[in-house]
Amino acid sequence: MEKHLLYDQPESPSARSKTSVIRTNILYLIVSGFLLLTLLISFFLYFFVLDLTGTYVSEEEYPYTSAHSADRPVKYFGIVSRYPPHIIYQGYQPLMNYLTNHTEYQFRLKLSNSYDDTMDQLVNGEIDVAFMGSYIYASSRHKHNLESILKPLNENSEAFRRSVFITRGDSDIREIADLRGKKLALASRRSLSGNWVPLYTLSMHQLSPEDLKTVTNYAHHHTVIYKVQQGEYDAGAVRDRVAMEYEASGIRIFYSSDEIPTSPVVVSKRQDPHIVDQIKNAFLNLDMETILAERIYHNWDLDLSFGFIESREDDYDFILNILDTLGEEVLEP
Amino acid sequence: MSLKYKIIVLVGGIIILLMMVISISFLYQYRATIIEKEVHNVRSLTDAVTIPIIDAFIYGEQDDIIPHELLERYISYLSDRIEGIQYAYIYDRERELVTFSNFRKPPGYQPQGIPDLNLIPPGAEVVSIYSHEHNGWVIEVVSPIQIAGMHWGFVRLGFDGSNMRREIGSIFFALLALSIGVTGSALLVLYLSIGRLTRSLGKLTEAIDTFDLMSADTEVSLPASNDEIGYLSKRFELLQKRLIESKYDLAESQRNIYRAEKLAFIGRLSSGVAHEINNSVNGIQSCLYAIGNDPKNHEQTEEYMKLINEGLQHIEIIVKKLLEYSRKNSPSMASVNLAEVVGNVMKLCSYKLQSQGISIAFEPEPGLPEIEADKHLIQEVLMNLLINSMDAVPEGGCICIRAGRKDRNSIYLSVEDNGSGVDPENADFIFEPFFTTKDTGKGTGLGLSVVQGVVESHNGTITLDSKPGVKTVFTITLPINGKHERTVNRG
Repeated sequence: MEKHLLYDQPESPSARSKTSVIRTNILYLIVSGFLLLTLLISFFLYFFVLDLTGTYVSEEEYPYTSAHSADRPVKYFGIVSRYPPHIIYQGYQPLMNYLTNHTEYQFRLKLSNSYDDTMDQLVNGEIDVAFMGSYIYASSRHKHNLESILKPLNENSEAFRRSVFITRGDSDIREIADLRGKKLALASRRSLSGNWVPLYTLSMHQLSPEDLKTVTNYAHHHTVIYKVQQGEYDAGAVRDRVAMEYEASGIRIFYSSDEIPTSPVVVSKRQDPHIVDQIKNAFLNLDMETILAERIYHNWDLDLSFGFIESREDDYDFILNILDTLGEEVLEP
Repeated sequence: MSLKYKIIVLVGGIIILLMMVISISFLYQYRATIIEKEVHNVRSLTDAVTIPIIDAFIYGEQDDIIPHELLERYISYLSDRIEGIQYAYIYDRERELVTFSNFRKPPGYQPQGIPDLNLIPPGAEVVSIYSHEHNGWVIEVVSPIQIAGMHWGFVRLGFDGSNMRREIGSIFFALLALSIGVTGSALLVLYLSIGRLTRSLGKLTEAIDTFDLMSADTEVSLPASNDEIGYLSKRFELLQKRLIESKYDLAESQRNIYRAEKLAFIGRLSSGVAHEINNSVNGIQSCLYAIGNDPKNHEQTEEYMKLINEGLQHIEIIVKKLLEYSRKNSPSMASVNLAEVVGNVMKLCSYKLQSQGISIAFEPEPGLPEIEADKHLIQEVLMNLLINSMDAVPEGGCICIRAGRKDRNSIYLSVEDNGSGVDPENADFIFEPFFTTKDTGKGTGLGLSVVQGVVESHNGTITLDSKPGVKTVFTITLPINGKHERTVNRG
């Protein structure tokens, strides 16, 4: 019977087989080509990815103030280095840059290990100007013919600081009189705000070191804070700014002294007045706005960030009165 | 290419490309991260290493000296403490070499491929990575020795970069393996899914292909699923049912048509027979009436008797042809030379052809074979077709007889004329008995039906191709060996 096919008849088996072989070969060809291509891409990619040759960081040049003032006369600024030199440079080199940019001279830092050394350098002309401690200046200005020319301002534009008595937050010490029979930690014996003023304050409250259980001096203000925090001492006396840093860490201020002039910038009276004027003018024109505008000062020491005012040479003579009251002899360098 | 492979190549290609793009993106991201991390590490290390160098320079500066010895000791200390450091060079602010050390290389060794120190601005820090034949991959940092713009010189430190490169290489191979794995899995899933889909499609196609309307009652297995293929299968099942129903409807319609056709045929046959015989019978009756009215008129009787005889002969011829049409006896087969048959018939008709001014031509193809046929019947067939043509063509017309091989097993014989032709509306009835377009008495209407009967009795076919007023061609096809060649109509 004749078939009625709805479709074309399918290919014959042999034709189908032949077509199938061709299709399979084409497929193999495509797949092989693709694999070969992938292999080639992977090969080149491997070498390309692992070739790391190149420059990856090239930072902008740091403003190099000294380079613009290399021909100017060099003036040295003395400073006592209680920390590794690079720490001191981080804090004070911006100030040198500022002076260099705002005077006719090129200023460089000259470090020393103590105020005594700085004093010597100032006296023998190794340095032209120096930051000096109030006590050392007051005690030696007459002998070495020194002159304080500037005082730094604090954040309230005040040229003074205070000595403060501190204790732990949970302590029952509320006033100076409570210190009787207690252990007191003080800063260096040469520190005005960390030693002489606190002792003077005790005497003003009819207390002497003998009325306390112990009175011990430590080299740094931070050490005093640490000892009080650890409970080794009932109380301590330090600079106000240092104490304020630790108020949030369990330290409580229970007494603040009268105003104490901030540490002076000192020159020898033999110094060229023109240089002194240049330095004074530069510092007196210094304010926070200038510091922020000139980003090179980003590591500027906080104590020197709020500007300066002129200082009289006898501003620190009250220290001699304190010593006299305490019956202490002046420790000359 | 089949649908399966088209989809696999297209989708597979897209998957591979996507994976390549994703992998390369990841690779470069990782590479950048690793380099960034390593550069950050060496910069931090350099910053730490530089601090004591700064201190040394400051101490030296206090005494107006360059602290060579201190720096040499420090560099030596670095070699012991810092793993992976390859070399260290220290330059003063004039870019003069202060001291250096190659921890793993012979004395005098100088790193190569490094940036020119003179091209580096005093405050800038440069990190570069380069490859060296002895040192391998090196990450070099050239960093200024400076604080807040106070500049003492440069430190140049080389660190081992091979670990970083190994890490990147590991990530490359991990990503490559992951890409191959994911791509391979995706292609495999794709291949299996498409295979399943195309198998279902193939099954459906096979079912459609092998669907036999004549044996449509047979169950056909179709893919059953809830997807588009399943839906297609269900539609095909419905189509099958409709086709089967149509088959039965068609058969019924055919039976009805056949019955109606048979009745119509019998009607036409009866009327044809009645018409032809009635004419003669009427003539005979008229003659008998005249003879009856005047029986003594011998002259009239004799004349009318001849007419009666002619009428009876006409009836006899009609009956004879009718018998021939219906008899369909098996022809007496013998080897027949067609050219000879055509020649004989042309001779028989030559007088009439000449008298009507009709030209005739015979154009046999070379190699015309002899066929197994009844010679007399074939002659009758050809005679009938020739007579038809002669009746159709006007004076001066032409007739052409052609013969030749149609294929390996059959021959054709055609008679073409340029006569009046056959109107399309008559073409379907032209082979029916007693159908004629000739004037009454000129034809019996049995010629072509007899021709068709003879041709079919020879297992042949006859076709008509007519353009009225232009040409008319009757083409007979006959098997060479007289046997029917079964053909299958495909299409």
